[in-house]
Amino acid sequence: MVTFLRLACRKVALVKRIEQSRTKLYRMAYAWCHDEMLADDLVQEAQMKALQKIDQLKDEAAFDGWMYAILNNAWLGYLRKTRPSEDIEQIVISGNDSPEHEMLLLQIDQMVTQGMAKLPNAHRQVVSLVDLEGLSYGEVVDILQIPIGTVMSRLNRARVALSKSIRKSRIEQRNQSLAGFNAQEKGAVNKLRMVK
Amino acid sequence: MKFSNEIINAYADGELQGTEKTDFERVLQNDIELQHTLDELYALKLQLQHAYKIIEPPAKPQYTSGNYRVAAYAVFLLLAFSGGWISSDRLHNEPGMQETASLNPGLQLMAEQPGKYILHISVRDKDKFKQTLDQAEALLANYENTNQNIELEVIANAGGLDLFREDASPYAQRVKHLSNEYPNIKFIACSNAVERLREQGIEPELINTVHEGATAIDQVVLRIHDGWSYIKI
Repeated sequence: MVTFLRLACRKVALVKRIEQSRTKLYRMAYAWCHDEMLADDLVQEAQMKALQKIDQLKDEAAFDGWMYAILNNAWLGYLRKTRPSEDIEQIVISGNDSPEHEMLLLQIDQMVTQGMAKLPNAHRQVVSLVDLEGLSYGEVVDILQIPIGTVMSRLNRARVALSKSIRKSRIEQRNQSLAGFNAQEKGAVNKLRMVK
Repeated sequence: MKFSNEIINAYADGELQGTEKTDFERVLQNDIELQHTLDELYALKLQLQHAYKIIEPPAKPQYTSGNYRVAAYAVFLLLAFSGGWISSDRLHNEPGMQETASLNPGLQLMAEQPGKYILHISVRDKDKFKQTLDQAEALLANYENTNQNIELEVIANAGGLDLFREDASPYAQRVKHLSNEYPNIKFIACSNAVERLREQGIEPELINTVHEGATAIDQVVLRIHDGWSYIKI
């Protein structure tokens, strides 16, 4: 009976953790797909799956990795269903360019998220697990089921590409600002000439 | 001494240990270029964290308080365990359930109380829609044949919502027929899924016997807590 009670309490605690994991999972799902609605659906699916498989989690310390692995399966399942002819690892996403979204993100944040959207899916997943969630390489190996060498090379490529993308966006933005400034200057000179 | 980009990344991520780490740090002290590369890496990591920190999930309607749900689940588990009847084998001992189980090889149970089932459909798939209704009908018929009470809920979210849309369902008539034929079946549309369509400018025309309820996850968790059997199609 004591064992049964212990098992029951453990299950209750796990159900609560699954429910409470929504925000963390959503952030990760959003980093992968950049679509608010899809991210919410993926999280809901992952939580459902976790509830179904609750008895399969043997080590509670591995809870986060277990949840991310389930989320990864949901995301890959979605990609396979919607883009069956494409290489899942290479899929880039368009990102959310709605005016509300543009307003929501600060300028630099926008450059980062746009850079992330341009990364191949496999690179985006690794960099978000390591940098957003602070997971170790070993945990990423378990979640994505890839060798550690692959984790390291994907992470490097992702960061190099992301840095380049952000740098490019900054240069473009600076050029646009300069162009705007020059146009204003020109307008001011023309006005002065008209007055003269 | 030159390090590969992967090793520099591994240092920035705290993955180097022992002599590998001390060797790296010895070189780092005098290597300006390496210091600069690391600074850029740390800056990138911070930028990434900052960019996604503001991302929050959409608010979901409160159905019941989390504490209540967990408490209910605890009571259920205690009763179930003390009764000694939680077992996946139990499904196969229910009258007429072997046939039902065979309809859906992926059938999975979280918890069981006799005659209480929640079926969940989340994909836009005509075959799955049919499978959902077949499963529901088989359960209702089995219980009716053995003169036992049954409560059955069918909940749809995401693409599965189309099953309940008058304007999109290939089985609208069958859903209505089941509702009229069996008073103990309830069809529920996930409020999140309905809201999503509205956000896209689509007003879903739900079949008149379908209820717009809580979110699918909330409803399923609630029912599991109440001891219902969960069947994912």
